[in-house]
Amino acid sequence: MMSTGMTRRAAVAAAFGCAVLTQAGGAAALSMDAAQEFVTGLITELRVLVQNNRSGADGAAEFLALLERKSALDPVGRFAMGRAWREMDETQQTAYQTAFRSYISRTYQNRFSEYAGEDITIFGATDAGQKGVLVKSHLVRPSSEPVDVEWLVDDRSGAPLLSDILFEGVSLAITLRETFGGMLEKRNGDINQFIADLGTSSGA
Amino acid sequence: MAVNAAVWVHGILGGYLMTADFCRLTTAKTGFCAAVLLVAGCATAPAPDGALIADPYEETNRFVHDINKDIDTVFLRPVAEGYGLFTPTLIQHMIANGLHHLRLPAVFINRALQGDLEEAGAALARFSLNTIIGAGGLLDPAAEMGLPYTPSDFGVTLAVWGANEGVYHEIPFFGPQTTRDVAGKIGGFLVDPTILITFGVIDVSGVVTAVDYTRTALAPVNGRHENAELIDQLLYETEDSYIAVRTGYVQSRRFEVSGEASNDLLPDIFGD
Repeated sequence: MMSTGMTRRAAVAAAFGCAVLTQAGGAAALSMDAAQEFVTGLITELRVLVQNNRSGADGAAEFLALLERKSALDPVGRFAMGRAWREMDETQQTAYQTAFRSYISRTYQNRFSEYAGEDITIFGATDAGQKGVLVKSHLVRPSSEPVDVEWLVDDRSGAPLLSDILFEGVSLAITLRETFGGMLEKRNGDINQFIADLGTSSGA
Repeated sequence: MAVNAAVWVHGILGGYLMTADFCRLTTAKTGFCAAVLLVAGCATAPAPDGALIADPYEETNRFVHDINKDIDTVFLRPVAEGYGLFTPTLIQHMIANGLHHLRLPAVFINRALQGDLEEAGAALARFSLNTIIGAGGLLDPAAEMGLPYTPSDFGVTLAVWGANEGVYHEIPFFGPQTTRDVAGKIGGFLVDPTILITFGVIDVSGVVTAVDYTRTALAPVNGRHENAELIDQLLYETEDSYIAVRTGYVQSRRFEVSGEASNDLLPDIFGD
């Protein structure tokens, strides 16, 4: 009885899954392999950047150029603003996206170079539904246990792009959204002030 | 060896001053945790739209955060830096191993309470191995044999049992907590077999008690030292360290409870 029920449910789920896959297949269904390949390429590029030991403005510009090509900066920026995004007019949104880029490159360039000499091993991927594919890797540090680093890759904008990185389950995108929410609140919701400060701030 | 991946972020993010050991002593001496539970126990509120966690006590929490940060600035950080500078690396490793070792009886019981017999068995095997051939737990041959230190605690047990996460708190000395984790601290104290040492039921002419007190003093220093970069960055290199700590703690704690990044925890950057 129960097993019949389970089987039927499984069959329905499978049929539904197929339908979804067929539908998505034409447009852009990101395969696990493609996502892993994408992250492998991204890691290689990051490593080259870090090994060239470019610091300062040049390094930040190169880092940003890499992010522009490989990550979904616009949607991530929008996500990081949360509900405040819809309260911003177009000029503010444009100014914000510029400030967001300068903030990101200054803040995370240093952060990534700290991992320069450390090995990253990709060991698998899981399907994250409409959020894309989560590629799993271990960052091996000389003096301690490996750190879980996960890369959320998604191709809703056409090509595979990075939409988030998680260190031990701490999401960069969510951290940015919480940080920006706090900054905005501290400025009593003054969006222009927030954008101006974001462009020059480098904390995270 | 050194700190396990799962605690790398959480370990001290989860309370730059707080450790289970510190809690044990404070609880034993003052009943502080129990008082906190009474206050916090009834706190539940849904997170506002889009927010990571509900924070109805933000004003109080921020006040406490400033105190905790001051304690770190004037006391814990300098002590931990001194410890890092003046203690030989080998001794540091042995201290870290010993501190982990003394947590294992509690890890074993919590894994069993969670119904995870495999992990419970691993904790037991690790404890036996390192006690016998690892110089009483100061060395870590078990890790080489595929049994690394995998922490767990009563807060995770409560989550496995289905308890709600509750809201966000920052507690003096114990740092960031969810309501469930505050309850977990108190319950964790009771299900840790080493409570028998804290209350003097087991002792070998003062030796065991001495170890217990030493451990209580060393654990926060060791934890602060092992996670120095992360904590310094969160506390001193952010515009708003309160939010930085809250964001990091809540996410890494959820990750620890679920054991992996579940799809629910991932952001949907095209969603709302």
